[in-house]
This record gives sequence, structure tokens and C-alpha cells, in this order.
Amino acid sequence: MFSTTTAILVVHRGGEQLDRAVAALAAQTRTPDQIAVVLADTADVRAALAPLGPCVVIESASHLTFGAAVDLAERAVAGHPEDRLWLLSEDTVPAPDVLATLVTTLDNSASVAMAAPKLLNADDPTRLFGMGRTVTRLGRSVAIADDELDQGQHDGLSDVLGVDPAGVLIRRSVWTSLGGFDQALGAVDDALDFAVRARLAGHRVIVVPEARVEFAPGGVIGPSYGNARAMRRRAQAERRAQLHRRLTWAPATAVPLHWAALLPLWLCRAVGSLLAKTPGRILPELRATLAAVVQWGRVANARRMVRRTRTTGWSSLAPLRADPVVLRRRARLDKDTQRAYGPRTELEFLSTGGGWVLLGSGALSLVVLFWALTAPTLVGGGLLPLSERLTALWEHAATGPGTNADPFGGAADPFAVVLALLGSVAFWAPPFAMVLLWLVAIPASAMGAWFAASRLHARGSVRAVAAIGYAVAPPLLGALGDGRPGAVVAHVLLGWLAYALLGAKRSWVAAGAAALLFAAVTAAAPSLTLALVVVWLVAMAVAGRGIARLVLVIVPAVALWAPLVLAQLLRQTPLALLADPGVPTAHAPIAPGRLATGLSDLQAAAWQSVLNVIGAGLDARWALLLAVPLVAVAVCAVAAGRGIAGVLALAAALFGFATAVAAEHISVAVHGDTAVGLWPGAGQSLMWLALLLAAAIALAAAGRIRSLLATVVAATLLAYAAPVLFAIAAQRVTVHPGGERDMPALVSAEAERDPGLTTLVIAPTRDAGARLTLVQGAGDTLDSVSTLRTTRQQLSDDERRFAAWAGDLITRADADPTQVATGTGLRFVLLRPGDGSAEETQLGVRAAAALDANGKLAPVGDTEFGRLWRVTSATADAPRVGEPLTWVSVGQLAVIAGVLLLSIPTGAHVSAGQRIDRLVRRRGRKRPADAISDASAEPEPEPEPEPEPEPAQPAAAENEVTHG
Amino acid sequence: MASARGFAIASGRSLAALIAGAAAAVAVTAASVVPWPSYSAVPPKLSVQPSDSRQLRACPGAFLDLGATAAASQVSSVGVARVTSGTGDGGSVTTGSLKSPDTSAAGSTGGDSTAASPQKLEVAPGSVAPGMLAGAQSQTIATETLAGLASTTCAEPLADSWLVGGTTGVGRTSLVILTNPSNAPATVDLTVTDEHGAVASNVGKRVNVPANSQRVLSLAGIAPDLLEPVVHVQSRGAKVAAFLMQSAINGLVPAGADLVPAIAAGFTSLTIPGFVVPQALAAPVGDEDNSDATAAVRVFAPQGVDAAGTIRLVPEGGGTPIDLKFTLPAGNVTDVPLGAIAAGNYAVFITANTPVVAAARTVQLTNTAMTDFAWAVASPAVHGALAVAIPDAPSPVLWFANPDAAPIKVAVNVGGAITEVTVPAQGAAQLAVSANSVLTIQDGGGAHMAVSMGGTSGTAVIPVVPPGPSEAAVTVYPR
Repeated sequence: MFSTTTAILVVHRGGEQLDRAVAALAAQTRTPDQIAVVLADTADVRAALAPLGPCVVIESASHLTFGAAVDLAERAVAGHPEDRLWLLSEDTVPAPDVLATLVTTLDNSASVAMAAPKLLNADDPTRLFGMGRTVTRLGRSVAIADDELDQGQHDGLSDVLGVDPAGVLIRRSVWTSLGGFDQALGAVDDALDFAVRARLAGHRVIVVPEARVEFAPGGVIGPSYGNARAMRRRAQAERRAQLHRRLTWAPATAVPLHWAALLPLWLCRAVGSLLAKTPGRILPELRATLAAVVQWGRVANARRMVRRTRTTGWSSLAPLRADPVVLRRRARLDKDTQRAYGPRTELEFLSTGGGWVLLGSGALSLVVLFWALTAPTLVGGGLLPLSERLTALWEHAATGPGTNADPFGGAADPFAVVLALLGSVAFWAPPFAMVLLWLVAIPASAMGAWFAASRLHARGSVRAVAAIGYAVAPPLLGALGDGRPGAVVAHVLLGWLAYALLGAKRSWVAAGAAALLFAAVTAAAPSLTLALVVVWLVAMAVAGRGIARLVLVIVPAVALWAPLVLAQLLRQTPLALLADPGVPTAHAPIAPGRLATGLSDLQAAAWQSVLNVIGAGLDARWALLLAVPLVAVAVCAVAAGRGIAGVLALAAALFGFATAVAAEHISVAVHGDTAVGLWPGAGQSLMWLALLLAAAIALAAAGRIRSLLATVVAATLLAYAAPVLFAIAAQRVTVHPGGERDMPALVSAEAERDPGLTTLVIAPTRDAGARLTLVQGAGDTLDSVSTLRTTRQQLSDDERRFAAWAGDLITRADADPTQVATGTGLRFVLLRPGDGSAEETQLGVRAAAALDANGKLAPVGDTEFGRLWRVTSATADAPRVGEPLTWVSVGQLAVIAGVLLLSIPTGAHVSAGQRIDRLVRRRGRKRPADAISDASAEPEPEPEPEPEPEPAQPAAAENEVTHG
Repeated sequence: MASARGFAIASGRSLAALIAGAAAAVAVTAASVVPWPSYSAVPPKLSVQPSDSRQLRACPGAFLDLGATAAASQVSSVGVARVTSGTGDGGSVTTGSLKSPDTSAAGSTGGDSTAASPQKLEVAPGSVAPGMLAGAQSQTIATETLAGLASTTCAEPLADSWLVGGTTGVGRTSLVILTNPSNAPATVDLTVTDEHGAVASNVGKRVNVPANSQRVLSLAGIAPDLLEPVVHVQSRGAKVAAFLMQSAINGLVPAGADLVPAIAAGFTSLTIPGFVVPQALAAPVGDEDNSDATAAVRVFAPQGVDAAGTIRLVPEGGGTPIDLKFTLPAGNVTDVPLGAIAAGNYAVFITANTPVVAAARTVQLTNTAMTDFAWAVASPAVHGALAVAIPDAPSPVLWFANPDAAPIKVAVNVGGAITEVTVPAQGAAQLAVSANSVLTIQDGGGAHMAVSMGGTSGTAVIPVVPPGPSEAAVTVYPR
């Protein structure tokens, strides 16, 4: 029997790679009888083919897939069915004896239709690239030998389910009868599919370990590796191939089931991808899934082809499928390997005193806020009780606080989400969440700063100074004393945000956490947004390869803010976006010098009382000298010789200071007759944290005097804060324990039955006017306050009507309270006591006289919240049902849930896909991350954790067991 | 070499630290010195002018007789009071009857109870300018027990007012009439003060006056033997129009009847125009029973301090004014006797060192027997336009008084014809007007006015009262 061997060389581009492939082909001990070259790129490549001697050259107009190119060549080359085709490309460098070995194999056993060589890594020929493939029970394609050191451990292999197409020798008759590679598959698993069909047609497919081909994946055979775009394309092709296989190989009756499961399955895998920290796979897999959903013509073709050529049962494949035991063992081995290489935590929490800091700050918090322990909630200043029902909390977070009194046509505050989360923590009594927040504020701040400092230095004293300084930072104590929940949340989270942000470029977990914290901080203190965005941009600029992770950082914030931003822009009041969330609470102006040293009014007052007690005739402003050591040490950070880290930290402090100063110049919210200025404390928090981190940098470089400096800084800061801490402990602050109600008991009781009722609340103002508001149910709650409402400066027609009506009601005895009440469920009128000034008393007397005289109001009497009247002729209104969840909220929820999944540390960044990264690296590309970390601003970069690549199989793949 | 390098590094670092410190100082200085732009929201507010209240006037209705029925404590109405009402600018007046639960019409001699009942006058909100609604009523009574001319203005309800007049001596009946023409109930506290000071009593406290109704209380029920009472009427809830209804009988002969409207507040300067003395009156002779048969001015200082002042009677048309000095012990009411006084028309000017309320009593004598009396209460100054209702009573005269040092010209529009009256400085003027009509003062100019009327059937005088100041605007902050 005479048969020829045709070598088919598919060439996409010339170059050194091609020269090596051509040389290896020319050096074969058994030369092919014919050589067909398929050229995609015809320029200056022909010269490189010279060593091959005469050969058939086919030019294709475009880059064909490998299978198509081989088809083209096969048709162009005349020959006999007994011929053999040897599939090569510029990526393959066969050893000289390969063709001889393969031909011998095919000659010796007639049942073998396809013989594949052992593929070795071209860059490191001691390692295997692959030796045949197989599929798992779920249709996932796995390499039998996967980036292993070639110690002959697989040399006993013969029959395999599938192969990689590089260097494969195929009988031409089989190629033609089976119709070549399935074009639907593209570059991925084409040979695997062909091999399976060959088996079903009664042929064998074997691997010949003696035939050694060096292989460098360059995109001609198999998918290309390399940059992120190629990764995404590969992920898409792999998933597409898997789905194609599933639909092709399934019994006909099961196909519709598989088809229907495609999209739900994608959703499950998306969740899995997030947990596996491979968010880059989600979109490619969606594209693959959508393609599989619509392109069922390809599946029909493939099924027809299988049906036409199949001679044996599917069961013949069973022995060659992947052994789950082996797979599991391999996954475990991989994990161990990764663990050996992987990041080690350098935290040393306990050994560097983290435990003591936590213990100390916790104890301090307990002592200072001991009185709050038994309170059902905290009120005063900007604090109001939270809604008692979790559903109400989340409704307000999702769709804004609509009430009967003020049907709300706007967007919810992002802070409402934070409040809803806080309330959910205290699910048994959401108002108690404020007590919890106050209690954990000091230790949580301390820990946040401690962790942030741990990114900078390993020494316990350095970390402790940052932690202590941040736990008793004036802006925190001021916010605790004045009752500013937004500022407290922002201060607590800033330290953690710094910690997460400093690690974000290397880890999806940190990036996810930073993203959530970024959203929460901007929600709690919108005035910080600008400074934080600048910090974020700087981080992006120095991130290098981790930039995708840093881009993620603002995503939840954008999703959270989008509705409010849109609403404010449409109203043409963009500045109003800066408004502090929660009840607008005014403060006296603070001079820049005091802003820079954190001397708040509360602190100044506390110091003044201390100075008065000890009889020193000093102004409280002298106290700010105690902040000088911190500032002085922080300034020295630029002299620490740690690159630009110190400069960046001080720049951040400057941004914080600028934010605080700017806040002093802006007032956007309105409460009654007062325009409420932005609270500068949030900017101060950023400044304080940055100063402490700068001080940590300076201390780290301080050498022998480190402990002395650290002690001085910590001691002065503690002394600086001591009077305020005492004032809070002695309850000489605005915040105080509150009942769960802000309304008279009668109103509360009635609101139990009819949550839709409203009360007109009259609060006298300093100009003998009155703040008139309608309050729904048992009183305003913190989560029902909306900055969209507090910053609205125009009065709508409805509001004018309401104001005119309410103005009448408090001046005229014959005003009709039901005139407006019919639409609002008005049932009570509450006159809040004035502050005792002549003007407020005057208004109070006037209003009381008019209300008393009103025939449609029945006086109830004086309560601790003011004098109450009941509207006698009011009819009950059905409570307004909260708006249904809108698509906006659903979108926000999806984004946040996604980032949340991403930020959950699952340890999944250790995965099989690591291999590709190693592969790429070994091919001589210096990882950009390494390049960047050399110039990184961080003084002491942690040992580089392995960057999370795109793993071939996320951990959640097992989900498919239930769905597939 | 190495040390030089080290030195260079050290100085470079120190320089960097110095620069950073300087930058910090510059930042703080710049923040304080540079006038940064600032932005402040403007709290949205609305100045709410209380929307036009319905203009309301209450007329007390027919004269009431205590004890005319079988039940001695029962009050019954006598006859019908003729109400004159109208507007100065052509608007229409709606008249409504008020309920009077304390009153029965059993003793009425002719006339039905509806006509006898108290009336309220109102105009649609906004249809009539303030001050352009006017009403007055008058009734000539001649029964076995009651006789005289009783007239009054239909008054604007007040939250706080003073009734100056009345007495509960022998043969004297004084009723406090609380009229609530509004749609809300009122709770009224009456505080009575007499010549001995404040009268302690539980009666007259928390008197409930339902909406659209009238309550009647006998002053004798609060305290018997009040010779010189002043009643402070304080209303919570709706405002009330308070009147004092006084009748006198000497033995079996009726000795007069009068209706006294309330005064809004005390002032240090009071003017009583239209004090008509029909015949010369002698100085009182000290007879207790007849002590009210003389002219007197009742004065009370509500602020509870000793008061001193002067009463000047200026005859209309010129003549020598009569000046009387008075002192008031704190918290006591005093009737200052005017002594012997010639017949004539007077304007009474009262000045005091503390705000006082006052009314002057004049008496009509027939053959030296008192047949009627009239309380002329202090009239507020009239500024701007005002409608005046002249009741259906004999020979009505519009009186003007001017306490100021410059003469005042007052233009009066009577049925389209403008009459200008010049009121001399510190003097009085008069204008005869036709009964049962409404005329318009085009500009009061600050003059005080009253309408007197009378004839053989009796004498009466009613003050011309401009409406109270409209409610001040209130600033409302809806955020």
C-alpha cells in the first residue's frame, strides 16, 4: 500500500517563530511527501519557506481558523484517501523524528485514525504543554497533562479522548469522511471534537509520547494567550465550545432543557466568577451564552454530522473521560502549590499590638459612652430615631422617603442605604443601631487606622500611634458629641478605605472592599467625594496593571449616586449634592487655624471648662498647641526618604484641609429659617488620617528617637482629646439617649393603627415666624430625611398652598384644617415649645390662641413635645404604600451585590488558570505589576501576592451539577 | 566622601521638611486670608398674610329682662331691637340669627322671638373693605318695669375686652351679654373689679359660649351689690362681642335702660365724644340709692398700679372746659363725679399716667326723676375710611372730638353728598344725620366719633369703632 504524507503548515505571520518551525520541518528524518503551506499574510514570508523546497502555497485572504485552513489545504492537494495529513503551524517545532514516529504508529495500527505528539512548552522544553485532552462529565475540556515538569510520568499514555491539533497526524480518509474540524468551534477544542467524532465512527485516537513537539501558543493553533483582550476572547471561545459540545452531544430530548438552562446557568456562573475573583469572565461568557442561544443552526449541523458518521455508542467514550478523582487531586495539588507561592499575611495582628489597641479603644469607648448602653436609641443634634421596621428602612433606601405629607418624586439619599444596613445589623430593634454605631465608632476607627498603617510599616508602635490618634481624632469626637451620624460613619470607614485602597490594585477582594467603602464614605460625607476622587485618580495613575481593579472602586458609588445626581442636575442645583445627609444641623463658623488643628466647638468648649476649673486664665485656643507635635512629625514624612509616599500622604492631608475649608464656605441645606453649612468634620477626618499616616511614615524612618516621638505624639493627642472624652462621658453634649418616639404618645399610639396620619408640627423661629412641617406617623425618622428635600430652595405650588393654609391656621381661628387635611391625613397639630426668646414666645402665643379658637381643632393638652390639638373632623386616609421597587433600585442592587460578592475573600484566587499566567511570564514578558511595584509609592510593599489571572475554571463550576 | 554625601542627603531632607512645613503654613494662611467665594442657600420662606377673615359684627338683640317670667332667674327678651346695617361700598350684608339658650321670649310684648334674637352681620370674604361693614341697633322700651332708649353698635368680636358700666345696687340690673357670632366655640373668663378691688368669684369663669350663640350672665350672680364694676372679658377659642345691659328701676318706676359695648383696651389718653347732658345736673347729694342719677366718669387702670390723671370736659361749640383731677388706688374702680354740670354737649378727654379704661355716664331727668341714663364709652380714633350705621332712633347726631392740638377736617359722605366737618383742636363738632342710615367717613383724620340720640323716650350714645388692626403677616418656613 502506497500512501503519502502531506504536511500542512498554516502560517499567519513570519518571523523567528516561523523560521524555527520551517527549519524543524525541513530537518525531519522522514520528510513529508508533500508540503502545503497556507499563508494568511503573504508579505515577505515566502522567502522564509525556502528551506522546505517545493511546496504548495495557498494564500487565504483572511485569517482562517486552523481547521478551515487545513481544509483548504486538503482540498488543494491532490492525493489518495490513504494519505495522511500532518497538521503544523508556525507555532510548532517538531523534533526531527516526530513524523517518522507518527507515521510508524499509524502504519502499525490500522484502527488509529489520529496520532498526536507530546507537546512541550517551547520556552521551557522540560515542561509539558499538553498530552491529549479529555472532558469532564459536564463537558468541560481539560488537558491530561497540564503544565507539568516532563518526567515521563505520562509516557504510558496511549488512547485519549481528544488531542490538541498541533502536530497531529490524521488519516485523510477520516478527515474527509468526518468533514474536518467543526467550524462552529473556532480555535478552541476543535481537535477534541474531531477526535470524539472519530471515536464514534469507530476509530482510535492516541498520543505518541515519543513524538515530541515544542509548542508556543501563538494563536494559530488553539486560542491565543497574552493580554487581557485575548484572555477575554479565549474565555468566550472556551465557554462557547463547552456549550456547543453540550448541545451537540446531548440526547435529542434533553437539548431543549439544556437550551433553556443556558441563561440561568450564566447567571449562576456570574456569581461564581465574582466569588472566584474573576469578574473578567462574566461578559465573555454572556456573549458565548447568547451566541449559543441564537446560533442553534450550528448545533443542528454538528448533530447531523455526528449522526451521519457515528457507528459506535456514546458509551465507548466513557472510559476515556476525565476521572473525577484525578481531577480533584490535581486541584488540591494546584492549591497547595499556590499556597506555597501565594501571599502571606504580614499583618501579625497580635504580635504587633493590634489586640491591645483593639482592647484599649474598646474599653475607652465603653467608659466614654457607658450611659448609652441602655438607651433604646440616641437623639439630639442631627440624630433622629431610625424607622422601627426594616422594610421601611429599605424602602426609604430604595425609593426615597415618600409620605402622605410629601409624596416624594425624587431619589433616595445614598446614605439611606448605609442607614438601612446599620438598621439591619440591629434587626431586632433598628433604632438601637445608632447606639451600636456610637459604641463601635472609637474602636472601629482605631482598627481602621491601625490596618491602614500596617500597609506602611510593620512596627507596632507606628501602627499604634496611627490607631490612637485616629480613635480620638477631634472630628470623630465632635461628630459623636454633636450627633452627626454621617460624619461618624465617614470617619470610621475612612481608615478601612485607606487600608483597602492601598491593596486594591493587587487583589479583587481589596478592590471590592474599597469599592463598597468608597461608596459608603461618599454616601455618609458627600463633601469628601471630590478629595476622594482625586485620591482615587492618583491611585489609578500609579496602579499600572491593577487599573481594572481600581476602576471598580468607584462603580458602586456611581450606581448609588446616579439617581440623586441626575435629580439634582435636572433641578440645576449640583452644589446641593454636597449636602450632608441626615437632619440639617447648623454649626458656628470655625476659623481655618482651628480647622487645621481640629479644634471643634465642642473641643474648645470642653477645654475652656477645663481651663476655667484649673483657674488658668487662658483662651481655649491655646489647646490646639497639643496638635502641633502630630503636624510637625507628619511634615517630616517628606524627609523620610521613602519616595513620594510622604508627599502623597501630606497632599491627601492638604486635600482634607481644603475640603474642610471649602465646607465652611458652602451651605446648601435648609432647616426652617437657617441655611445649614456643610460640616467640615468630614474633611478634617481625611486630613487627620493622612497626617497620621504621614506621621507613621516619618516615625518609621525615625530610627533611635522613634519610640520617644511616638510616645510624644500619642500622649499629646490623647491629652488633646481628654476634655472632650470627659464631656461626652459626663453627657455634656448634644447627643442624649432618646425614646423611640419623637412625637406625643397619643400621636404614636394612633399612628400604630393608622401609619398614614400626619401631624402639622409648628416650630417657632427666631423671627417670630414658624417652621411648619407635616410629619407622618409616629414622627420623622433619620432614614426619611432626604437631602433632595432639605436642599430644595424653590417652593412648589403645593408648598405655597400648604404654607398659606398653615399660616392661616396659626393666625386665624376660622381657618379650616380639613381643607388641606383631606389629601394628607392631617389628624394632629403640634406646637413645639419655643426657646424662650421673645419672638418665639410671641409666635407660640399667637399660634396657640388661633388654634385654641379653631372650631375644628380640639385641644389635647401639653405634652413633653409641645402642645397638641386634634383635628376633629379629619377623615382617615389610607396610608400611602411605598413605591414598588423600580428598575433603578434593581440595577443598584445588582451592582452592589456583585461588588459585595467580589469582596468576599474565598481564597479562590488560587486556581488552575494560574498556569496561563506562568506561561505568559515564562515567555519573557516582565509583568507590568512587577515593573510598577519597583517604582511604587509604597515604602514597604508586601510580598507580591500572585496576581489573580483569569482561571480556566472558576470554583463555582460545580454549580452546573444542579443546572446542567 | 561618604560623609559629604550623607550630609547632602541630610540637608536635602531637612530642606524638604522645611518646605513642607512652610507649605502647610501657607495653606492655613491662605485659607484664612484669601476671601474665598462662598455659597449659601436661601431658606425658602413665605410671608403669609392671614387670608381675609369674614368681617363679623354681633348685635346683642332685644333688651332682656331678668325675672320677668315665673322663674326669677330666667332672662326673657323684651320687644324687638331695630337693626340698621349696611356697607360703605355697596357690598351686601348677610344677617343671621344667633341662638340664645339663656333667653326665653315669654316676656316679650309683641314681636317674635326670631326678630328679638341677637343677630350677626357678615359679608363674604374679600367683598367688602375692612371698616366698610357697619351695623347698629336701637330699641325704645316702655314696659311696666323697663323704660328708656337702649342703643349700641353691632360690635366686632374681641379676644380681650373691657365692659365699663353697670351696677348691681338696689333696683339696678346688669347683665353681661356674651355674643359669639363665629363658627367656633368660645370659653370666656369674666373678671370683675369694683370700687373695692377685684371680686373673687367662681361664677363667670370658663363660660362656654357655643358657636353662633349668645350667653347671658347676671352681674349680680357674680357678686351682689357691685356699685362701680368693670368687667374684664377674656375669651379663649373664638372671640366674643361682649355687651353690658343695664336697667334701672326706682321703686316701681322704670328709671332707664342702656346697652354698653365693650372697650378693646386701656390707653393713657381716652376720648369720649358725644357726651350729651340733656339738662343741667346737680352735684350728687350723697344719697346712696340715687347715686347713679348723676353724671360721672368711671375709670379703671387695668395694670394694677396707682393711677392719676385729669378729666376735661369741652363743650361743643366753644366754652370753658371743665377740668377734674382724679387718682385711682391700684386695682380699684372709681366713679369720678362730674359734679354740677350745665346742659350741653361735651367731649370728654381723659389723660392718665397709666393706661386706663373709662366710660362716662349721663342721665336724663324728668321732673328731677331719672327716666333714662346712657353710658358713653371711650371711642378710638378713626383713621381712614369707615362706615357708620345710624340706628333707627330719634334725632341722631354724629359727634366728633379732637384731642390733638391741630384742627381736623373730616369728610362725611351722606348718601353721596360730601359734608366736611372741621373739628377744632381740643374741641368737638357735630353733624345732624338721618336715622336708620349708613354713612361713610371718607377720612377720619384721627378724630374720635360717637352717635348720640334721644328725645323724650330716653337718651343713648354709641361709639363709632373702627375695626381692630388686621392680623399681621406671619413668616412660614416650610422646610
